[in-house]
This record gives sequence, C-alpha cells and structure tokens, in this order.
Amino acid sequence: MRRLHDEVILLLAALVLFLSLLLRLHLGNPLVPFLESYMWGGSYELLLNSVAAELLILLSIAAGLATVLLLLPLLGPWTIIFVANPLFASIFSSPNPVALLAPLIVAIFLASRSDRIVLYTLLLAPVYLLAPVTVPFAALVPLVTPATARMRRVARLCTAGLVGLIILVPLHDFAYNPLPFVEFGNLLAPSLLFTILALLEAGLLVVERQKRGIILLFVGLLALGLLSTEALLLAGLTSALLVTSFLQRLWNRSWVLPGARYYTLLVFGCLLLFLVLNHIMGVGMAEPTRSIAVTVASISEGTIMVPPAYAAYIAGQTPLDTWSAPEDLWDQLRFDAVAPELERAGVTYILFTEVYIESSLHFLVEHSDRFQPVIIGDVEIWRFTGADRR
Amino acid sequence: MGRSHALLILLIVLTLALRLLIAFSQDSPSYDTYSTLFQAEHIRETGLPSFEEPTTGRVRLFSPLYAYLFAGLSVIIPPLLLAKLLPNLLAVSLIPISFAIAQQLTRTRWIALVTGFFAAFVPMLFQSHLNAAPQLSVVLPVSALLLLSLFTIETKPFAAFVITAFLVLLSPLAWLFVAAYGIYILILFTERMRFEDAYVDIALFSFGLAFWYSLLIFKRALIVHGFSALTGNLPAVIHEASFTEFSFLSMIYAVGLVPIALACLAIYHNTFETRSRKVFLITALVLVVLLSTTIRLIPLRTGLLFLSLAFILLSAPGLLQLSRWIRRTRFSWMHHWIAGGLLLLFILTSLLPALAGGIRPLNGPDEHELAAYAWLRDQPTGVVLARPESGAVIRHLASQPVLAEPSYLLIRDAEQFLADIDHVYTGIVVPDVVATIIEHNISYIMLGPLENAVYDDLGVLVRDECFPILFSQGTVIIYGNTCRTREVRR
Repeated sequence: MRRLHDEVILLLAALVLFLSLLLRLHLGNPLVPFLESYMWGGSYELLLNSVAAELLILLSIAAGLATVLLLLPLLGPWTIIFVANPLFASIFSSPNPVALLAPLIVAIFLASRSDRIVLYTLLLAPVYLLAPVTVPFAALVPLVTPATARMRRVARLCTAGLVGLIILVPLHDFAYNPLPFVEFGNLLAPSLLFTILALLEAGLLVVERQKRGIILLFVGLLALGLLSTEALLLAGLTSALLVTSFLQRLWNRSWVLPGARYYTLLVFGCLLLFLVLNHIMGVGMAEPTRSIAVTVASISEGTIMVPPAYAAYIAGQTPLDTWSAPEDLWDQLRFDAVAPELERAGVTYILFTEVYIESSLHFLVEHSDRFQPVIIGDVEIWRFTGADRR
Repeated sequence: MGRSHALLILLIVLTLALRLLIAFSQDSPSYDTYSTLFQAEHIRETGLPSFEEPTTGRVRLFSPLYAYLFAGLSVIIPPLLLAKLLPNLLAVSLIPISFAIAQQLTRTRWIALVTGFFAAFVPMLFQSHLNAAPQLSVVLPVSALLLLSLFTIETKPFAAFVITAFLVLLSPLAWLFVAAYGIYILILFTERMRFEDAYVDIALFSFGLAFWYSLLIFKRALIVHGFSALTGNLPAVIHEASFTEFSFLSMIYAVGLVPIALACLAIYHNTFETRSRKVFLITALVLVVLLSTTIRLIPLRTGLLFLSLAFILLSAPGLLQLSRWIRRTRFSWMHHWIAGGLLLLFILTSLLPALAGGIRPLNGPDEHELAAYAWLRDQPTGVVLARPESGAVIRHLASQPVLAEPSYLLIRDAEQFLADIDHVYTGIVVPDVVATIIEHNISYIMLGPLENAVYDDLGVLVRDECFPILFSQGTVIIYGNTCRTREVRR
C-alpha cells in the first residue's frame, strides 16, 4: 500500500511538471518558461560550454523528482502537499539553481538525521557544482540559520542577520520585489496561503516544542526574498514542508463539530487544486511567448535594443547583436537624450514588448520621423534611421 | 408570550412602519440600488449575472450570491418594491437578533429589550439602507446571525457552518470574521484561557473557504493590481472621499454616546473581571474593524456600520454591570431613575439625530434624470459618460453602456481614467476634449445633478458647437459630439 502511494505521488509530480511544459508547446511558446531561466542558463553556459536552456530543463525536472523521492520516506502520502505547492511547478519546470540545490538541501537535511551524510553529499556533488557560484551561498542561509538557534537570543539574531547580509549582499544583483506572492501574479514566489499556514505552523512548533530555529529560518528567508529570488524560492520550498506538517496536524486533531474535519479538509483540498492548476496555466503562458519569438526571428541583421529582462533570452534566439538598454532610457521622452545613446550602441532596431509599448520611449518613437515601424502588434520592432537624417 | 416579547414585537412593528414610511416617501431608490436591480434583471433574463460589459469591455468583479437572492425574490415581488422592502426588513431583523444575542450574553430580558431598542435607533444603522438595497444591507444581519450561531455552537453546530459559508459567499467582508477569530484566539492565549475547539474548527473552515472564494472571484484583480486590489484600486480622490479619516468623534456621532460608553464599560469589566469568552469574541471583532478602518482597508461607512452593531451588542453586558454596580451602592433606590436617565440620554444623542437624518431627502435620481434615461433608452446604442455613481442607473434604466461605474477593479490606470472623465467636463481645449471623447468611444455626455455637484467650472463642453445639446430637461442636459480631432485642428 505504501509503495502504491509513492508511485502515485511520483506520477502526480511528473504530471505537474510536464503539464506546464506541454501547455507551452500547445500554445507555441518557447519550451523554457521565465526570462530568468535564460539568465541562469547563461551562467551555466560558462561551466557547461554552451549547453542550451532546453537541455537544462531536464536537469530541473530530474531534480524535482529526486526531491520528491527523497521526501517520500519522510512525509509518506503527505508528500502530495509538497507537490501541490504552486511553486513546485515554477521551480522544477524551469532551469534555475534552486531546482538543482533543492534535492541537495533535502538530502543534507535527511542525512543529518542519519550517518549517511557523506554518501548523500557525494551523490549530489555534481548537481552542487553545476549551480552558479552565488547560489550555494544562498543555500547556506537555511542551513546556518537553524544552527544559530542554539545560541543566546541576541547573539542568535545578530548572527542570523549578519550571515544573511555578509553572504548575500556582495554576491547578488538585488532587485526589490514588492509582490512576493503567487496570488499577486509573481510566478516565482511562494503562495500567500502557504506562507500564512507555514507561519501558523512555525508559531505552533515554537509554542509546543520550543523549536525556534524553524521560524527564524522561514522568516529570514522571506525577508531576504524581498531582495533575492533564490531566497524567495527557498522560502517557498520551506513553506511547503511547514504546510505539510500543518495539514497533517489538521488531519490528526480531534474535531469537535461533526463533519468539520471533512468540510475543512475538502475546502483546503479544493484550494490547493485550484492553486496548482492556476499555476500550471500561469507557467504555460509565462514569458517568453510565441509572439516575441516570431517577431525577433523576422529580423536577420543589425543591432537590436531590448528591455533588460529580455536580453538573455533574445541573445540566444537571434544572430542579431543585442543591446540591453538601461531602464532609464525607456523612460526618456526627449530625442536629444535618446539618439546619442542609440548611435553609441550602434542600434538599428528597438524591440518593444507588451509592457514596454506603454513606455515613454514608445511614445517618442511613434511621434518622431527618425523611427520607422517594422512590425506592429503585441510585440513591436521599430527601425532607428539615425540621428542626423531629417 | 411574555411582556418583553410583546414589547419586542411592538418595537419591530413600529420601527418597520417608520422605516417604510420614510422609504416610500421617496420616488426612486438610491443610485447604488440600481446596480442590484440591473444584475437581478440580467439574472432573470439570462440566468447569469453581468460580469462584463460587451461594448466597453469593462469587467465587473463581485460576489454574485446577493444578486441571485434578489433576482429570486424579484420573481415574486416587483423589483422596485422589493428594493424598498427587503433592506428595511433586513435592518429591522437586527432587533430580534440583537435581543437574542443580548439574552445569550446577560440572561436578562429587560437588558435584551433595551439592546433591541438600541439596534433599532442607533443613527448609523437607522439611516443606512432606508432607501437603498446594496449587498451590505444583507451582510450586517447575516454577521449578527453568525455571532448568535457562534454563541450557540455547542448545541447547533450546523447552523454556524451554514451561516459562515453563506457570509463568505455573500461578501469579502467575511474576512473581518476570519481575522476576528485569529485575534480572539490570540486574546485567549494571552489571557491563558482554554481554547474552545469548536471555534478553532469554524476559524479553520472559514479561513479556507474565504481564501478559496476570494481567489476565485478576485484572482484577476489581485494579479493586475497587487495589494491595491484589496482597496478596490480606487483613484486617490475617490479613496480619500470614501476612506475618510477615522476619528473618535465620527464614531460617537455615528454610533451614539450611550452604546459606546456602555460597550467600553463592558470591555473594561470583561478584561479585568468577568473574562467571558463571548464578550472577548465581540471585542476581537471590534478590534479588527477598528484596525481595518484605521488603515483604510474598508470604507469608513462600512466600518462604522460594523462598529455600531458590535457596540450595541457589547452595551448589553455593560448595562448589566452598571445595573449590578448601582444596586450595590446606596443609590440602589434610584435604579429606575438612572435607567430612565440613560434612556433619555440615548433618545437625545441617538434617536433624535437618527430620525432627523432619516427624514432628510434620500439620494436617488430625480424626475428629470428619469426622463433623460427614458430618452436615452430610445437612442442608438452608444457609450454614455456620466459620474461613476450613476453608472448602474443608466445601465439599468437607459439600457446603454456606460464608461464609468463605481468599481475600478481591472482598470490599469484608474487615476488617468478618472482624469479623462474630469477632462471631458472641464477641459478648455476643444481638440483635446474631442480626442478624449474619441479615445473612449463616448456617444452621449450627461450633465445632471451629480455632475453639477462635482464640477464647478465646466469647460468647452457647454459652449462649443462640437458638442450639440441632444436632450435638455430641468437639471439634466445630454450632449453629443460631432467633431473629429483633425477637423477641429483645421
């Protein structure tokens, strides 16, 4: 019976991971979701000599299934909650360092409970080596923070804060993320529901078993998540484990009201199903989309100016030279301020994605005779004819 | 039937008669009622609420349960009559519910009766929904009913489940209760009192259901607007107007001095002496509503309605403590005089302001506006520009699509949208005004009492030949547009 559970859960995990990719193929979108994947893909290329992002996705899926396999003996049938975590589809169906690190972290955690830590570490060392250099340090945060819980309170807080700052500040390109939840449209963030339930569970663990490390770890990762996507993803995985424990608690608690247990767990089950299905659809429709791929493929030579987030993706899709223009250039309305920059970079084309069509630069391009439309639609390309021509 | 029950019935009948007298003295219901009437009509015709306006592409996000209830009842009772009857019946239903809750809290009939009297004539409750049938008119009695069912959860657990589910499906305001459960459990924890597992059961159930339903209905708004979806993505001006600064004085004016004083006494006494779980639960609700109103998560008016209800209920244990305290002093012989004095104070500070507020003309379209809507109904289909408050009434009575409605969810740049509306009325450069009109595909521009109240200085709309008068009667003028941007520039 136990074995059957394991197989069903593994099958469901594979279904969650492949469904979003099948949806992308069905919609004609490039297979690999999220523009960030291509940036991370670029980092891997240094180590793997130009391995395509499409191949790296297989590593992520394998890492996802490996994580589920590692958790199965620990959580049993409750591993299903970890799979139903909306972030599961985001992390393990796109190439990213956290996907590769997840099985390693879980393995170290499991091994720390037994005497096979060396074996686990050796087995997963190749995965560890594949990750860009900054991420192993980010992964150290969850490992170090619980350890600090053994110290005195003030020392613990200071150490936890300093470890995070010292490790992450110099090594990361921080980008403040004001919407750190899936429910607000950020597909690479934990779910608000999972976060609330995880905080509740962490609080209960503190009250009942005096386990303070877990709440320090989770809150620390969430706080860092405001600045670092990797930390946010790790917080998402931690929340999934805490929610698993919370729902186990709900299942086992003695309910007073007749039927309350079934109504409540039914509601939570529907909620999880709704979240994960929504998320699979979100990953299926995430950037980059078909329209960008088709638009970019229609231009064959020259230098194209692209929004910063798209630079890594477009660089891999076209023989054109790409120039990732700084954000403030997209907010320019004055031709005199824009033209020298374009001339200096040798820009021939400018790519406007859906969001950037509403930028000030697009308004300038529309109303200046030194730009000509090449492709107009959801994604637009305009040709820059030079600063001197009138 | 005891004397107190007879008095209760008399109070209900008198209050209902008074409310209906005021409601039927007005010709048409308030502007916001037409949203309910429109949705009910749409449900009767198609079986579904109108979630999208085909002409303008505007999407309406709301919980449809109330619209279905209203549509169902309007099959038996004519909709306009129902719009006046239903909210008043629901408002009056607060009297017996408050009576029952006060009975639960104090086990004293005369106090329960006084609480019922408070529920009938507290200014905020009395003046609200006299001539309006918005969703909130149902939410308040259902909330009171939920409190009552929570107090009897041990004997009737199923009722609490059903009412919780009903409230969650009715309105996002159910989140107030979800948060109140959290605060309640926290209070019990800090007071080192034992949790009642039944409340934890209900809290978990309502949290899960509220989260799921909110995601189902408002998912798109949350993705588009992020956190600002929680306050309806309102433009700053509208936000300032409807979420006005909360102050203690505004609370006293809305709720009344006597209920607030008695409620404060009850909270104080309960915290330090009696430690009743039921009073802690209502206190938790008060804290949540106060916090939500202060940080402007819910409009001030909604907050004050919930506070009125909570303070009325808390005034029952307050009155009980006061009565016990007086009986223990040398002035116990003055007990009846003091009770009479309190009642007189309530009449002076709450009942009279409530009646004075209720007798004033209520907000609804006048006969000129109704004539304009009737004229618009016979015109070719075209987008009507008017103030957002009259959006629903135009949609319902004129059967024309409107540009602006009171909801701003899924409008990407709500500030610009409102600025465009203002620009059509106050713009002084004809090509710019024409460009805005063309951009939004506007066919009719309405200038009625609502618009005149907002715009002191009207622009080229009222004096340029590009905007001919299509209809004019009394206070209402409807303009058209005959110009294109290029023609004007030439």
